[in-house]
Amino acid sequence: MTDVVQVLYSGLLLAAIYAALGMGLALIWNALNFLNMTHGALFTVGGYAAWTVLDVTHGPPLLGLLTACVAAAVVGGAAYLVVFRRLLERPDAEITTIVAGLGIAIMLEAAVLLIFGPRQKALPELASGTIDLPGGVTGQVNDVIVMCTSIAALIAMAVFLARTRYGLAIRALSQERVGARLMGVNTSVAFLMVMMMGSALAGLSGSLLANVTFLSPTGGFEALLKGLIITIVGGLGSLRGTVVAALAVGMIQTAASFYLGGRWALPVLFGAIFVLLILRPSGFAGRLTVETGGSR
Amino acid sequence: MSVLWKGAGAAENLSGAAGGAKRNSPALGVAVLVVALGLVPLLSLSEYTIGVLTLIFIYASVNLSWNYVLGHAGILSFASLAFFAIGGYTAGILNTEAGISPWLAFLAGGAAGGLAGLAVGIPSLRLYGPYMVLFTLCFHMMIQVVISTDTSGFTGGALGLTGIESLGLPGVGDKVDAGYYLGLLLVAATYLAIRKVLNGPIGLALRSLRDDEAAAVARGVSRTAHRQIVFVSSSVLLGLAGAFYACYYGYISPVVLSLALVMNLFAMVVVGGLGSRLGPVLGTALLVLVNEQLQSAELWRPFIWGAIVVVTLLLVPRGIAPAAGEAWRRLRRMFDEWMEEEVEVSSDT
Repeated sequence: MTDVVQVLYSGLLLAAIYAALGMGLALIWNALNFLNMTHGALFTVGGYAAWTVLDVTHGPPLLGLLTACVAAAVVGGAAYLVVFRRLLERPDAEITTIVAGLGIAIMLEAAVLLIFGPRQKALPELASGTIDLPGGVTGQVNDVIVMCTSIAALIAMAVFLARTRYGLAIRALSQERVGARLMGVNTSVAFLMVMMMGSALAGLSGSLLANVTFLSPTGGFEALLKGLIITIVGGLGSLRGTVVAALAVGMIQTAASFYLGGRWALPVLFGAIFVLLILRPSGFAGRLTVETGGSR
Repeated sequence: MSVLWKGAGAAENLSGAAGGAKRNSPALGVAVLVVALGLVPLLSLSEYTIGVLTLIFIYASVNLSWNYVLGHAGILSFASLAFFAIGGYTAGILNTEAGISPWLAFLAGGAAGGLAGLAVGIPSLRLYGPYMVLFTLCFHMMIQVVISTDTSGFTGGALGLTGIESLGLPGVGDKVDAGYYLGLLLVAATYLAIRKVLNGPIGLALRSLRDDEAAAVARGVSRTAHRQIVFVSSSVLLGLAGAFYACYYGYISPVVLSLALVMNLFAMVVVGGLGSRLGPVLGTALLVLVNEQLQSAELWRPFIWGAIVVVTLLLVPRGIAPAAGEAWRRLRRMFDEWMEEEVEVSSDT
């Protein structure tokens, strides 16, 4: 009982953070049709931005979360304006955006390492205190707040996409680019907005994970990998599928680390994807069509 | 040396068969280059220089295979160094633990690379979109984690595997020179193997799939089967390169799986020119030399690599090799026109 509750608790916490991470990637994939390989680096940038602002101002921890979103959004938006926008116009955009994204990610991570050094850093807790869970497991109030923040951000994004004019424009763009343009959607503004929103989610998840664990300049690659796994297992761009995949990945990773040890988390996850891709090549949501890149 | 001459001859034959209408096939240039490089150790250069050149050969053969997969077949694989490491570790473990001779272990490394390629390719190659990126990155990370956290002593863990015997070359006593010749042979063989595949029916199928997939499939060209052939054959080549690396340096460690190295080699492919035949070799030579200049700026290195990749993509998207080829052709056309004018003038008088 204790084991199960412990795994469920840690798994849910991780899943909530991963969901925000994967959702950013899925959003960008959906609207802009490219795989944002800078996502992991933006995750790191968000974490360090939060740490810096809290270290300087000693302000409330929520300020850190906000800074993380803004910093990642600005960096992601800049990367889009300077690099991705140009590459996306070319016929070989599928491969060049991936390559350039990796290049930008390496640059950002090297910059973080140069500025902050290799030592791991800790963010102050969002709240202190503990709660008792069934089975004698003790949970942290901090963890619960982290979970709720992530879920709240996802709900806010879903409402934005479903209820606002801009959300409608973004959804229209994802479904039919030319049609949306003809109806008067300003694509360059909408694309920049999507890129910044996706990046903000990456930054948010970076600072949330740093709240639960710690910050390291090399953590971005693993985050990118987890984000990719979630997005792709979730059916590439399907937002509901992404949430389900985040849950599955969080649980599998936690269970594997708990029962087999941390070094087996990735191999077990890999094995699971291996089986999934053989049985259900289009992911949980099954949205992927037979065309390159087409998701809806 | 005789082996090298044979390789060069084969290159010439191939150019005759495949170069066809091309007036000046690059194969001749390659043959000349290989022969010239074969004479380099006679210049009694320092061991350091020969070592750097050998490193260029090893990296160039990795990059040729990577470009073959990424640039020619359009498979978004990032697991090249994982197959490289699998080949290297297989050779190393077979040699040190089982006492198998280095040459056999070298071949086994290639076989292990190929098997791993097959296993990774089966679930992923039939899919469309960016699955390949995820799957190969994941595979790479998994291999890295499993090897570097191994405490059983099987792979040597984070410290690596040491004491691997080097591949001897009969007739060449000096170990550094032998490694140099074998490295040159490795890169020449890799180039020729890939060239042979690309000039043959498989290359034709790949091009047709790239240009118009629906038409190619309608003519009975199987996308998955061709991608699988390319993927497995490249994995064999990568496994061999890894096994060569392990035997040449006598050790192999998880450093070969570091992201920094992935990025280095990747930058070489991109700078040289994705999808160009000789570009990766050019890019490798250029960036290894740049890297030697950056020894003092260790921390800045990844930043510079990233910047090189991004700037190349923005400014010279096809890489320096095609760009240089284009410039060379333009120059020659100008020269030809100029010559023709000369002739006309002289015939008038």
